[in-house]
Amino acid sequence: MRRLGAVIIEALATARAQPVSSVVSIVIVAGMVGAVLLTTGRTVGAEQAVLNSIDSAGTRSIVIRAEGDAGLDTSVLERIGNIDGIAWSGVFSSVQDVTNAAVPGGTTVPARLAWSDQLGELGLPAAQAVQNRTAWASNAALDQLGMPDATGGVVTGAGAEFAIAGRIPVPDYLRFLEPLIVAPQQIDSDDPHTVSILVVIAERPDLVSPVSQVVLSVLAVDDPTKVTLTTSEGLATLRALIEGQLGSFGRNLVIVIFALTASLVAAILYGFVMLRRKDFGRRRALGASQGLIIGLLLTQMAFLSGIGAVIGCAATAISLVITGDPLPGIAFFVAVSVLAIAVGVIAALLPASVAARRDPLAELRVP
Amino acid sequence: MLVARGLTFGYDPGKPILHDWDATFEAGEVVAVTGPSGRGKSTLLYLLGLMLKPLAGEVLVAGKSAAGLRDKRRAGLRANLFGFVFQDAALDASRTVLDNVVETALYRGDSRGAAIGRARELMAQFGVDLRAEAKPGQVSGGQAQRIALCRALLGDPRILLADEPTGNLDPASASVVVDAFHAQAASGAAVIVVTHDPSLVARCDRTINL
Repeated sequence: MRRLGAVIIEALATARAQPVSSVVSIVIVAGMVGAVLLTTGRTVGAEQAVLNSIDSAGTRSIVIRAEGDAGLDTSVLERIGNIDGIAWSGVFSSVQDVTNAAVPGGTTVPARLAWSDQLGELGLPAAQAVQNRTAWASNAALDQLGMPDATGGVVTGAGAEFAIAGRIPVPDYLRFLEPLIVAPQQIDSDDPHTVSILVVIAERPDLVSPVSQVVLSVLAVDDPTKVTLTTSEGLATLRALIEGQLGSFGRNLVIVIFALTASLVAAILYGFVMLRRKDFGRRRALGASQGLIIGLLLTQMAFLSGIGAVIGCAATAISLVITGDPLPGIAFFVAVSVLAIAVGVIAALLPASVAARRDPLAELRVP
Repeated sequence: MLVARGLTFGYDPGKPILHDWDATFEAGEVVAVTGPSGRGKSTLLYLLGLMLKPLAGEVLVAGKSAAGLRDKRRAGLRANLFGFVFQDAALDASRTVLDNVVETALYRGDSRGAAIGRARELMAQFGVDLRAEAKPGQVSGGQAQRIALCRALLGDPRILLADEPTGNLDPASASVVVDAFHAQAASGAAVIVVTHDPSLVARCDRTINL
């Protein structure tokens, strides 16, 4: 361990003592990291942006619509709760037209009762914490109701009243319900309510198809012909295609850039080894083994590559932020840095092995 | 301490510059190796120092043959048993004088802290302690050779090899170097000096002509 520490200290001291070669090595590695991040990194960032756009369109959603007499009720939530791979689920009643209680004869807006164990994810309080006659409305619904401050009440045609408690941000997978007014209801397993829409969000796009099949099997409806299933399987397929093709393009680009810069690093290091061949001959004469000289050079290059990687990452991140391009994510930065250090060390192998084989006699003899 | 047995070596195997050469170097003696240029004096020194492998014959270090040893073992022997003084000092111009003197501690696996203490003692003994943080380019030729001597003596070597160590020195500096060789021999080391300098030859215990 002490020997390893001594080798590291010597490698760092050597790097400090050779500022020109050290700075050149750092600049090359920083350039390599920058080139990768500005090309592949931007591709990855763009890919992520495209995938996020597709995801926002509901690549993971499964929507089941049931006619009123199909027999779908709130008990389905309990059965769905036992299925793996589901991120969110909820059911909605059929539409009840409501109007602003303060504007008799005003515009009618559709309202639905809602049941879910995960209402918090919609920005609503848990159903247990609210009265069944409290509702939340989307911006579109509030506009139509003429209720810009989201306070007041709505009334159904049958005379049932709901207090509007606030605004609900409508997630992408519920946009098809807009304009949306929802009244969260407590789930009562002893008294299931008939519902007309079941929304299930799979954990991943590739789970949409299998989860759909399982969900259909637990609907327990009286008449399956009155149930329709809508999934985003097509979008999920498109997503997988984009992810695969852009990912493959990015990987190939990284390989090409790293190969080119590794050659450059190796060539420049080889030049520095040749310039300092007398030093390596002296080290060999004084008792440094070939392994030790290789270890010293590789440690030195790993250290310089690390500095170069940090500088390259920082400079590229700043430039991406300034130009408004998407950042590829911290994991990508870390991966590129680790790869850059590995490439630097691998590129140093040949020059290091040349240095370790310097003939002391040839280097130290004075003509 | 050091024995050459049947040494044969040549850069062109058809024209060996050393052929079936034998010699024994005992602890406690300073031996001069001299002769005309091109006769293989420096080559012999590097063969004895295990930096070159002979075409035939062997070098025995403390009674054991170094022939056939792998690079790591040969390097270990050089680091632990040998000290080297080269003709032009061969200091690393990018490092401080002190760094140069303690360089071999790394190869022996010695603690750098302890090596620095010993290095400062040697540098004080040879009058170069005031230049510890200087770079080799900032010291004179005589000082550089004394710094190289400090580096060679740092590990208290049992075999000290020197290649034209006084070639570029004034008489006073040369005398300091020769005195150090005798002191190291007196401590039980074998000292082998390749030289053309008649005054240095005159102060050696024995002379080998090539």
